[in-house]
Formats: sequence, C-alpha cells, structure tokens
Amino acid sequence: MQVLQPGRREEHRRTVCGADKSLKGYFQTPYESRIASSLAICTGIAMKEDMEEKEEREKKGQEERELWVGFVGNPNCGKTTLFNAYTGARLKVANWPGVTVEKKEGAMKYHSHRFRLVDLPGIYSLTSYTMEEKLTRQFILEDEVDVIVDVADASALERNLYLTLQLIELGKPVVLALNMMDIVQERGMEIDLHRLPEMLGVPCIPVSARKRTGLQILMHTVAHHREKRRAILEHQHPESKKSRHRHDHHNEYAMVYDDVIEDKIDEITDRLKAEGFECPNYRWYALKLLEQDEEITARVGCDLADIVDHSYETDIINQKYDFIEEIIEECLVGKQAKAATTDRVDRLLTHRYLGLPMFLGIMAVVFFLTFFIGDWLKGYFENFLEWFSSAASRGLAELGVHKLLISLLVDGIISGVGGILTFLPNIFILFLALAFLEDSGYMSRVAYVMDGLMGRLGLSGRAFIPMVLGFGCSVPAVMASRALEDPVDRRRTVFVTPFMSCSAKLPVYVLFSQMFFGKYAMFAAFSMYLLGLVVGILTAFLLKGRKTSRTAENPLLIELPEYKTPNARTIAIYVWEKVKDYLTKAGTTIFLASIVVWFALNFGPRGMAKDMQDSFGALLGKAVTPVLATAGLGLWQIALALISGLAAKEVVVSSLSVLFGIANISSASGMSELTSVLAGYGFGALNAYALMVFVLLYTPCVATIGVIRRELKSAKWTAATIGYQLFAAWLLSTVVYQVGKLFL
Amino acid sequence: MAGWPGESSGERDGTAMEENISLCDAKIGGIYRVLGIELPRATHIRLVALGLTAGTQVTVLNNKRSGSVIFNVRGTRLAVGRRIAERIVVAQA
Repeated sequence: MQVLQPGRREEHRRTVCGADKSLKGYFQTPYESRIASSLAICTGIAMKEDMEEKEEREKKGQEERELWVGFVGNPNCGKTTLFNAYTGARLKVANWPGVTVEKKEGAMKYHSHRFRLVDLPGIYSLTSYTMEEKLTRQFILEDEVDVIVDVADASALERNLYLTLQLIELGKPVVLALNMMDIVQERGMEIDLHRLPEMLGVPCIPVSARKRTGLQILMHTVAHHREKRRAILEHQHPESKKSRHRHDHHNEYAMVYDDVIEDKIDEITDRLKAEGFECPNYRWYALKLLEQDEEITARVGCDLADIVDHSYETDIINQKYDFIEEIIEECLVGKQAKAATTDRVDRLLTHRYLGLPMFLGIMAVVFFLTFFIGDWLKGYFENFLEWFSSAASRGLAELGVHKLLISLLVDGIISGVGGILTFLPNIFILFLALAFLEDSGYMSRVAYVMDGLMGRLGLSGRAFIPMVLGFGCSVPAVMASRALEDPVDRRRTVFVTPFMSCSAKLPVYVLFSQMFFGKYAMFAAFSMYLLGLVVGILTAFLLKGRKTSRTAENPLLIELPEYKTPNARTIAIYVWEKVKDYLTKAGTTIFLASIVVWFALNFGPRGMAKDMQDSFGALLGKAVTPVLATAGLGLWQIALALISGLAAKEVVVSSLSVLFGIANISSASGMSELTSVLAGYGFGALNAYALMVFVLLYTPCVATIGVIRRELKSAKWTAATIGYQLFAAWLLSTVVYQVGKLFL
Repeated sequence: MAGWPGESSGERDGTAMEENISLCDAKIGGIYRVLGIELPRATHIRLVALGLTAGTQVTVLNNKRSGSVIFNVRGTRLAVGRRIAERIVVAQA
C-alpha cells in the first residue's frame, strides 16, 4: 500500500494526532462547515468502489488515514486562494510573487479521510538557487507529502507546465489542478482535457479557485491518486524526434530526454545503485546530478566526473520546454487569443514618464478615500462614543462607585480605547484600498516603475514592494522583505520599511491635521506619506555605502501577472484580518497602555498625586522634554504620549486623551478642547507638524521591533535600526520646527 | 518551432543575417528571437526556467530609458532590470 518512510514521518503523525482535538474546531463558520459536509457527501457517493479497501483500513486504526497534500505552484497561479477555499484558513493572499515565504498548514476532513493541506511557497522550478525552491523540494523529498497538488494557471499553461514536469519527475503522486479555467474560457481558449492527462500521465482537474468550481472533484482525485498509478497510454514523439528509449516513461516521469541524457540517466542510476545509494526516485537524482545541483551532488557524494562531464542543466530545461511545446500544440486550442486589456493598461501604468506620477496619483486617491469616506463614517462612531461615555459616567455614579474607579473607567479606558475605535473607519478604508491594489496585480508594476530610481540606490525595484506594504502595517511589510534574495539588500529594506507611514500613525495625522490645518488637513497628512517615502529612499542611499554597483548581482526579475478584478472573498478575508487586528490591539495593547498611563498620571512618588505635575508620568515626561524642546515638542505631556506610543503608535492619541482628560478626542468638541489646551502651552500648527514628523519617523512599535529582530537575526542591527530611527525623527522634526519658525 | 537540443541558436542564425542586439536596445512592440544569455549561472538558469530558452520568441512590451524591459515570453509577462536586459542577446524575428 502506501510507501512510507519510517522515522521522521511517524513522529510527525504522532504530533498531528495529538493536535487532533483542536482540528475539530477548525471549521468555524457555518459556511465552512457546510463546505466540509458537502464534501463528505460528495465523496461518500463517488468513493463506493473504495468501500472494501476503506473498511479494511478502518480496522487498522484511525490514525493511519491522514493524507498529507502539498500545494505547489508558480507565484500568481491562485494557489493560496485555492488553499483558502478548502481550509478557510485566513491566509493572506497577495498578487505578487513570493509572498508565501513560509509554508502554511490547514486541515480539512471529509468522509473518513482527514486531509492535512500544506501551502508551499510559489516557485517556478525546483533548483537549489532560491530559498523557496529549496524549502519546497526538501519538504517533498523528505517524504512529508503523500500527494502533490500542482496548481497551474491554465491561462498561462505553457510556463506553468515546466514546474509540472519537474514535480512529476520527483516520483510522487501528482494531481494537476488547472486553475483559472474561467479565464481560459473567457479568452476563447480550450484545453483538451483528455489528451493532456495522457501526455502527462497524471490526472488533470479543471478548477477555479475564485469561482469555487471543481473543488470537490480535485480533493476527490487526490484521495484516489494517493498511490502512484500505472499509466496506460504511451506518448509517441513525432518521426523527426525518434529516440531509442521507450516512450512509456510517463508511466512515471511524463517525458523522455534525448539519447545523450537518457543514456547518462541510466548510467548514473546504475552507478548509484552499485555504490549503495538508496532513494525512491533514482531518475530525479540522476537528473539533478546531471544539472550539477550543489545540494544533491553533496548529498550523494559519489564521484561521477566521468559521466557528468559538464552541467546539462540548460539542455534539460530546453528539452522540457520542447516537450511542453508538443503538449501545447496538441492540447491547447485557440492560444492566439490573448488578453489585450492588461497590455493596454500597462502601457499607461508602466509608461516611461507617466509611471511614477500614476503611482503617486493612485496613492493620493487611496489616502483621499481614507480621509473622506473614513471621516464620514467616523461621525456615527463618535456620536455613539459620546453617548456611551456620558451614560457610563452617570450610571456608575448612580451605582455609588468610587470616584477613582469611575475616573479609571471613563477617563482612562473609555477615552483611551474609545478614542482609538473612532478611527476604525479610516483604517477600514485604507486596508480596503490596499487590498484592491495588491489583488489586482498592480504591485509588481510598482516594482518595475521604481526600478530605475531604486537602481540608483543600489536596490532592485522589488525592494519597493515591502515599502508600499508598509503603508498598511510594518509587521507584514518587514516580513515581505524576505522575497529579496540578497541578505544585504534585505537588511537595507528592513531598515527603510518602518519609515513608511503605517496605518497606526494615521490617527495621529487625522487628529492633528484636522485640529491645526483646517481645510489643508488632507495635504498636511498626505505630505507625511511623501516625507516617509523620501526619508526611506534617502536612508537607502546613505546605506548604499562604498559597496559599489551591487546591482550587478541582484537586478530586477519579476513576473507581471494579468490584471484581474479583485476577488471579493479574498479582499473580505484580508480586510477582516486587519480590522480584527485593530480591534484586538484596541482591546489589548491600547487598553493596557491607557490603564498604565492613567496610573502614571494619578500616582507619584508620594502616593496619589493631587496634581498631575507630581505624578510618575510627569517626571518621566519631563526627563525627556529637554531633548524634544528643539523640535518644539517640549511639553511633558507630549513627551509622555510619545514614549507610550512605543507600545503602538495609536497609543500616542489615546494617551493624549487620557492626559488631557478629553472624553471624545476625535469629535469636533474634543478637538477644539485639545486645541485650546495646547494653545495655552504655546503649541501651534508648526509644533503639530513637527509632532507628526516625529511620529512618522521615530522607532516603530514593539511588534515591529520584534519582527525586525527576527528578520535581521541580529541584536546589534536591531539596536542600530532603533537608534537611527530615533535620531532621524529628532533631526527632521527639529529641522522642520527651526526652519518653520524663521518663516512663521 | 524551437530547436531540438544540440542544435545551437547560432546554427539556425546562419540564414537570417539580422543584427544581434541586446534586449535593452529592442523596440517596443517588436518581436525578437532569443539567441543567448550571458549572465551568472543562477540568474541564467532562472531566466531559462521561466521559458527564455534559446530560439524562443519574445514580444517587447515596454522599454524604459533606465533599461528595464517588459516582455512577453510563452504567454507570460516578465519585467527585468537593465543589468539583465543588456545581457540578453536577441535578433529581430
């Protein structure tokens, strides 16, 4: 039956069984459990032929039946969308290459079969040149996968089949999922679904992850083909390409190489067997040895210099593509029909001169929406909060609750957390817009547009993608820098990304720009986004150092996917994740920070502080004010708010509410109250702008610092990042304040 | 169709006497045949694996002054920086 390698695999099984109870709660929503049960019904009917076999195995024990399914495919093939469709796992789906750097796992169950689905990184081939490819290859080789689901973008079949051929050569059961069949139809193309599996020797299932079609049949096929099957049919090459070798290799391997390579494969296989090297797929090892793959050559350790006289890698790739051309010729009808829309849109968006203004324009629209639509929705939130806070205050007083406790609840928690919650609509719109950009396929265009400029900084245009993601949140943005192959480039990108204006800084801009800049509020806020970009780019330039023309080693190479209408489900998952994060943050970090700030303000070295001036908070704030005074931020309240902002940038706003005892800081009355209080201290528009600059640039929140530490794997570099950011924030806000003072 | 292995792009080039240029100098909208890639092995193999085998036809979709080029190969769009584009040798198809 199943060929299992003992050892590691068994261990894995055991841990999985241990975690089994938690898996039962996996289908959280009614929708998901409906999918699960409909899958169960579907397989129940169709798997009758398996009944006897199944009963036999049922006796053997439950734990045997978990099937490991690895999802492998090119970037942009819709693999993660397909994976999500099964598991409901709230994974991030982005329409640019390399976002799934880690493998993700999900579980599903139908009938008596348990499936463990693994989403592997998007890759183009199985060489050992990139981290993603090595990871995927290793995962499959170490026998952790029972069945490989090769997800292919059927609308770009030719290139996608290249990975398919390599996966088939690995010798594991492969099921080809032809994704995006809806697009294939739209373009008037047709795929011969009878001839294709004949030529490849593996089942080919048409699906559409976006339209959610073919999902059940795919899993069905996986369950049926979990064991390697003997193919029945033979593929004959045309007369001109005769070879002495049998052409039923696709029993196992789909394709036959030319005589030179086939002879070498036979020789190497014999040699490996003679030398006692054991593996389940000699052919794949032989091919990798012919390609002089470093990792496999080292692992095998046989001297094959007499057979492998040079690297046959290019020949092997060329012949694979020749075979693919044969497949395309036979199986794809109407391949000339191409999507002109993407090219037409690209002519504008990637235009030599218009590309950059278009990008800035698109970002401006994003922020315009964030401000205007967000503000319009915000009004409703504020009314509710105002009502709630006064009702709570009155209710608690009537219940005879102690004055101090009322103050903690109303002044501390409600005004801190509630103040932040009113910004939720802005955050919602911002992430909605970013999700649209990511899912539409625009991100990789940005990499192309910025390549010229980034090239001058010694970075590839690709390093710009994490920076754009940084407009949302620095944490995933810093992680996205992993897509860069060069470690030095990665470090520089991580260094620069936190300067981008993340969504947590948004409440600060919204509040201060509306308080001090009236109708120019939008421009004041948008200038922050531009300033963040400029400082980031300048920093990259400074870090370029003397290591000249590094670009030679890592230039831009990126696929530009078709533009597509963003998928509602994908966007909904993405935005919901972000909104949930924001609410969680309000309920945890900001909640705690508000309480801490309240205590810091109400208690001092001598117990309860009658006057805030004697509190711990004031002492801490006053210790820092001399440094901040040069930037016009010499108020201890501002200093304390900035310090508390290390927990999360929104805390700057919530702390100010608590500090100045303003119940509803983002409402018109709250704002005018704060403005007049601050004006009393001589804090005007210029001070406000300097504050926005400081918040934009200074040390990111603890969550981001944690991720930076993890990505850089160096405490020294993390400390350097923090130090540099603090300095940059202080320097620039000081310059803004001092220069501004000359003119105002 | 593309050549069967062993047949180098140079041989086929015998008949057509067009100039060999780098992809950097290709015109937008032009259709070119890939003759060779002169890049370090890792990058070279990545490009070939993406379908840029010798003899393949590419359609140039965009070519900026900085030298980064967008082209269509085997039904997919690729963008490459100047350092790559200038080392891909093509000829008018």
